[in-house]
Amino acid sequence: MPTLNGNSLSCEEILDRYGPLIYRMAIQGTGSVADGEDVAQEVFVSLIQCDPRFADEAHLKAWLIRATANRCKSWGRSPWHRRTVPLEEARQAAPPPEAGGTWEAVAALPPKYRWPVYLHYIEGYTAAEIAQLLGCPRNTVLSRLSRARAKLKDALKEEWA
Amino acid sequence: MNSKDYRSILGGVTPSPAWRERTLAAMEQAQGQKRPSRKPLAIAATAAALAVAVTGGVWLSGRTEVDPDGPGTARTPEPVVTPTPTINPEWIYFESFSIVTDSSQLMGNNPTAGRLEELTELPVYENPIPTEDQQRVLLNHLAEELGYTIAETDWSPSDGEETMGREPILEAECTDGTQLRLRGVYSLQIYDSPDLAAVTETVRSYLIYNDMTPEEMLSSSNIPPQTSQETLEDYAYTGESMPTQATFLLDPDATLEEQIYSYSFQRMEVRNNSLTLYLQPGKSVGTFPLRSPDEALACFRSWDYWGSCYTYYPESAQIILISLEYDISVGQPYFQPVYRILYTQDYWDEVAAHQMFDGVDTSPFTGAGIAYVPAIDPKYQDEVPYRRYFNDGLAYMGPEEWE
Repeated sequence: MPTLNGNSLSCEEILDRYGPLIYRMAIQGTGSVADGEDVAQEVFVSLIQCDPRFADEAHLKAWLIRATANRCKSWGRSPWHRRTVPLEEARQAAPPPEAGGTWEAVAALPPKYRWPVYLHYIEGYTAAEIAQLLGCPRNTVLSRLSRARAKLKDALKEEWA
Repeated sequence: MNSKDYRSILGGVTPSPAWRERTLAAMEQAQGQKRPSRKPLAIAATAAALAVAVTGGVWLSGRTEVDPDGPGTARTPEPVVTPTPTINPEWIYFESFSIVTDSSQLMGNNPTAGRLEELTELPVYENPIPTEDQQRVLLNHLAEELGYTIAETDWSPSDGEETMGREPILEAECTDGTQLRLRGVYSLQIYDSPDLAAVTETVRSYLIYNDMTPEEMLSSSNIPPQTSQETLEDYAYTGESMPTQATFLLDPDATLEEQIYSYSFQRMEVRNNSLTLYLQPGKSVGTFPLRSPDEALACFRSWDYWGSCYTYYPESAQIILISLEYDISVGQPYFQPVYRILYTQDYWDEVAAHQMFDGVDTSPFTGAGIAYVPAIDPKYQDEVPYRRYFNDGLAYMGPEEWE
């Protein structure tokens, strides 16, 4: 089992602590509830299989977030997905029914803008925390948030604030 | 809509009890199926090999700088020392490649193999944006040539991003149930045919005789063009073989430039139950100088490449073959030459074993990736921009992608 500060984490504990975060992130990242659920499940299974040891919670969270971002990216490009989901169907992936244009606009952002927006606005992380989670400088996060707001303003035809 | 709405919508999404139950069961099951740890010897060997190469100072890294005021000749990248990559076993499982039993299965039969140095410039062709009427005329012509009677049609403009908008699609259902899909004016997909073998023969004849006049076809002194074939074979996660059989015109006496043209545009491919016939492109927009294969390889090594396959460690990839072809994938602003770099990683056998389904004997399998690097000299790429798409997104692998 993965360990945190030398202590084993149970599957229930992992899901209780990080399930909602990874679940939401995967849905945002894949653009579909069904695909997001599959990706989130794969991330947690991967965590068990990799059996990593984490020095602290920030390290564990960063691992999960980066694994989810990478899974979302490889999900659309994986040979299996490529063979089983025609492009036309993939385009029709449904957002949560109540989500509307905002969710779609964020989902349409390139990953480098999408994840800072998601982590800041949904999970409430600061730019410094996002920088640590994504492994990039704080100023990069700030500039990406700024560019993302501009792109969202264009897409939604109203100020993103 | 603003950030508060976004927060209230997505922030309120929580996992369903059913998902939690399924995930918990999958995690508990995975406890008994831990991944084999990476072979320490394999990592050490890779690191050692790289260390030797670095010591020798032969690594090329970084893009070729382009001096806008320069004389217009290709510049050789400065040799620089690249730090030995540390292969992180947590990340290799997210890499993307084709599953093969031997990476040579994706080598194909490209006429440029081993002859790349002969090429210094090549034409770039238009990929015209057709109107609905133009597509209907072309599809009717192709259907007639191939012996189909169209029963119903459905036209749709592309809803892809930016340059993908170049590709309206006209679909048709024929009276025998065969489906036709015309993309732009450059490819015709034929599927759901009741007799694919017969269709394959018909399309092959079309490929050979399309450019000949009736008189030429009847003349005993006129020899029809020859064809060549290639098979590209990869495997599904079930271990099932998924071969692509390609047929293309090949005149052994033609110039290499003409051979590449035929290889790319006078070509048909059969995969699964579908056949794709590629049509010849629009007029040339000019002939452009090429960068060298070494420069293209340096781009790949320094994370500047395109394709649906990707690796976090291009520095350590083993190169199987570099060839050159015209990119005929969806959404091309122009049809232009690209270097196709076939490569593998020594640890992809382990990753493939992890990806494949339970119960499959994974021992024969490994992975092979294909990276595409535009062949036109970077100085001219603003004039003829290159794009490659995959699943409705740009399939570009640059350093920023991994930040």
